[in-house]
Amino acid sequence: MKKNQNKKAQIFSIDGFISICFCVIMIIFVMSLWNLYSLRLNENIRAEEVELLSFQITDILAKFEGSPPYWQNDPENTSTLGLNDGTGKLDEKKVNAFLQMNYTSVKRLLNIERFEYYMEVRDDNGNLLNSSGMNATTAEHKVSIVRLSLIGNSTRQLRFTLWD
Amino acid sequence: MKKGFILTLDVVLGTTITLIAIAASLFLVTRGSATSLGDHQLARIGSDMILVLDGQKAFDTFDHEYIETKIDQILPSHVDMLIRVEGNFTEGNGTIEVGGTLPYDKPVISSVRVGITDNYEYMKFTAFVWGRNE
Repeated sequence: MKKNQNKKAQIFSIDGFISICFCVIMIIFVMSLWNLYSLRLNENIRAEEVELLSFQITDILAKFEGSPPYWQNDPENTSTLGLNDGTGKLDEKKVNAFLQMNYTSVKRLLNIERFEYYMEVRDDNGNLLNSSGMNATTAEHKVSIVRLSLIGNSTRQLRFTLWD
Repeated sequence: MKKGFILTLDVVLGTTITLIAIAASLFLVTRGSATSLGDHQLARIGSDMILVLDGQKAFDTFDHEYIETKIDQILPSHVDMLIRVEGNFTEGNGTIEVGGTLPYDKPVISSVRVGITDNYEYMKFTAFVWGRNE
């Protein structure tokens, strides 16, 4: 009789032990899964932020004149950057002024202090005409946006790269 | 003994289904929008192409070869496109299409712009853009 009671108690202990082990394993599994997805979610958020900013910046530069409208005459007092001449084309003087502006000032005006940028202007054959900014070497997130536009009657490619 | 086994199987099945549901929902949440960076870039290239060609008065000629030559000159090499122009003109009964042939095996991004001619007639430009095989 004593022997039987001992056996029952032992079975109960093994049962409890197995269920606790299983429960701990499940908790660890769920927590590591949650952690993995959190990391991926943060990574996606960061990558999408770079993409969104790149599109917004190229849209603003290509479509708006900037403020004041003739900011290229006094780039130090520019409040908003824009390269459009008001007719849908790019203003060559604005493009040149933008490319010659101080790197930190451009980042402040575009509100991208946390990132780095590189801007290229190419002709329709792909030949590099001018560039400014810092070229990405070991970027974790890097997005390049190409926009096509006209300067006078000549086609130009604006390639804007944002990276961190 | 048998009852215990059925209960365990039940729990295992329930846990598995729950975990699959959690994993699937987390995957769908983290995946986000199905629209990729490439799709947005193609849409902008299409829109920019219409703007550039319109700015160079390429559509005023209604000359297929001229427009096609301009497209080849300007369009980046990794993409191909078809431009459809609709309006109140006699050529092609008011619709002309210039550019490549629409593919059936890859995603095509379209963008629309509306313009006005010197005679104050509206024209609708639709650009279909897709990635070219490298």
